[in-house]
Amino acid sequence: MFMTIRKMQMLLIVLLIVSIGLVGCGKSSSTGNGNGNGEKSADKITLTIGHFDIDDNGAIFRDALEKFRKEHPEVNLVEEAIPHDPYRVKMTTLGASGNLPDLFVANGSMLLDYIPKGYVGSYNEALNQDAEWKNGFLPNSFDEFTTDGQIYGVPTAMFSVHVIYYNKELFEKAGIASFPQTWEEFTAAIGKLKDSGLTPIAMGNKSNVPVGSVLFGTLADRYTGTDWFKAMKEGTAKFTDPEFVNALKALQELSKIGAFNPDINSIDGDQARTLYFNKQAAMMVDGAWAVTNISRDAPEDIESATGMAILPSVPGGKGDPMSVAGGSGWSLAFNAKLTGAKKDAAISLIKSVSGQEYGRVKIEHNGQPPVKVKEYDQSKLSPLAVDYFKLMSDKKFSPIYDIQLAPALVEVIYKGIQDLLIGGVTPEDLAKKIQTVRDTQK
Amino acid sequence: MSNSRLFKLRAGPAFRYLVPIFSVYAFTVLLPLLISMYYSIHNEGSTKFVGLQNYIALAKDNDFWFALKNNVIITIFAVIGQVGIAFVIASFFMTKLLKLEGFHRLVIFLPVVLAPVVTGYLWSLIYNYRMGVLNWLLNLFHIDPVLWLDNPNYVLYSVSVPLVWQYIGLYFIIFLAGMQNISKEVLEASEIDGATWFKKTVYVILPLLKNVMNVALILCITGTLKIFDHIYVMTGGGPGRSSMVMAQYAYNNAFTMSRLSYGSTISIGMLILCAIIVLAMSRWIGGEAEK
Repeated sequence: MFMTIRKMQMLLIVLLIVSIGLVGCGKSSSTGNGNGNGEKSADKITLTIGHFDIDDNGAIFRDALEKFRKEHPEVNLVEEAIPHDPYRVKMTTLGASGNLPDLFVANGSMLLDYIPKGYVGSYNEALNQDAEWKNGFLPNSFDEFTTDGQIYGVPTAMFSVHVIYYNKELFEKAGIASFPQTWEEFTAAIGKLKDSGLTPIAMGNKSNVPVGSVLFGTLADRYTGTDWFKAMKEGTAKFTDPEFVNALKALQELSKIGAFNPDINSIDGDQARTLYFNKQAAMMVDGAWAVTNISRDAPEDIESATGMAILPSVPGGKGDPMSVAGGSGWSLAFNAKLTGAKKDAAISLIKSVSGQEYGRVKIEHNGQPPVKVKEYDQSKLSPLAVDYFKLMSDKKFSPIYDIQLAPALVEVIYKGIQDLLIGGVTPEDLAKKIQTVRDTQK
Repeated sequence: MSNSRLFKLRAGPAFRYLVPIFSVYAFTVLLPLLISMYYSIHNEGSTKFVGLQNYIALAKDNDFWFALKNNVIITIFAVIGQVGIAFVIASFFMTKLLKLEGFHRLVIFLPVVLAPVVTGYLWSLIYNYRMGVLNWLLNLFHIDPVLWLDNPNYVLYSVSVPLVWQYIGLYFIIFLAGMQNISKEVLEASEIDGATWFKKTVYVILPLLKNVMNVALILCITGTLKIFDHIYVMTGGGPGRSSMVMAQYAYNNAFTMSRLSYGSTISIGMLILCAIIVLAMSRWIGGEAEK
């Protein structure tokens, strides 16, 4: 009797373990079969592509992918697309585990993370084989994606991340004739706008990135100059240098005189744009991509009243007042694991979304392509896009912090800026804190 | 003789029965824990063994201790709010004045089943500066709108309120079950002796609920020390670092700053600190009970 109970128990345990094991096998074998069948039936190459062009601004990119699918029926293109903010988080997570898609959109900062780990492939060979493709790009457009002479990313756009969009009518009502040219005039204008019951500058900084990226990057360059940034990257200049501290002070000063909407740290960019569209705010600072948003979403009177400008020069600044933070920013990179036919298919896909034809479509949709577009239909552009190209014609690009620096440093600077805006930290202490994080990196 | 064996607890069979659940536990809890320990004693990218270097950095990290301080403040708030309010409500249920008992119980328990992310979004809409219900109410009384989630001085309290709101129901149910276990004779005897509702609650129900109270306190403290979802959705630890908690800080390090091993170090540190706090807490409560 006792023995039978023991045997029954053992049998039960063995059955349980086996059934758990079988469940595991069942899953893996079924996916294995799925892949096997797919390859057998059409002999297809499966390529996965990770990107965040899922909104209206990304329609051109999706159309290009659709076109690629039609031209290359042998390729099974799988899109892994999610919105921009979660995309960045997802890619950092995937980067930690090394399971990146075959192709993906990456910014310079992500590449800095992936290159030492050997996750991304180099474009040098492909670019050298196709001179026409290589020479079609704008000068310096590969800068952010190059390490030790190896190019790891093909730019998807080249634009300024800093443009001040201002409402000319509201400026006139507040008694400001034209956009201020010096820092004193700028702060005086903010005071006047505030007195007339408006929010001077609308921004949404809930995710930390906007103020740091579109406003502070340019403001810091006004004070420090681009040479300081290069020296800082090499380790010869420090964040505790007076130039950088002055830039932090200037930003805190703006916040103290009430330049921003009070709920700046709890709303996002779309909500901030709404303030501008509703004439509650006289200015908004945003990247060049907002040209597309305003042309498409803004009420007619707002669109026609919108002017564009950049930050005025600052007293004692070492930077070129004609420069704005900008560059190519995002690129298309491919997984270093790709070889043979898969790699060839990947390169031809990348060519189809970075060549002349794609550039022409992009510019005609008010975008900012990274290639020199020879011929395009200027009448298709919105008046704002024409203004934008006019504004940028004599400007130089200075570094974008969140694209050129490693993720840990970006987080400390941008989170610190949010703290600075609410007065939670002094500029000097913040500079020290940033430098300690800089010191931990090689 | 053979019958009595059936009821004897034997170590061998008992352990064998535990094998399946233990293997699941090992795979989902122990393995990740060991992997994070492995990460935490290696450098970023796990190429080199660095010993306790990450832990030394953690001990010197001002932001981590600030996050712990926030955690402790939220926990104190949650203990008073969740356990305290739940006890008061449960004791109201013991009076005979209450009508529609089932309905009230349902309404109080309902928030517990909401996903924390849903609660977070719901409350960030309530707190919204321009269109939130709270500021609309203030406006009715001609009070200036308040920046609930932007002001570093009270953002910590703003994010604690949804937490309290959500979990009152859980402790309420625990207390109610405990109170219904108290024998009617004791309560009736106190009523005959002329105890008021207040005296009955404080001098009769509370001492008899001591064990239930211990469980509720431990649950509440451990739950609140590892709080993440609500904060992530409402403020992400912001503005600046004013509502940063330990779990959010670990998340930021691992996933936005791409410092996986330091992130692992923070979570192990969190585990150790939580264990110390809970052990100290249970010693304190247990010691008092023995007197």
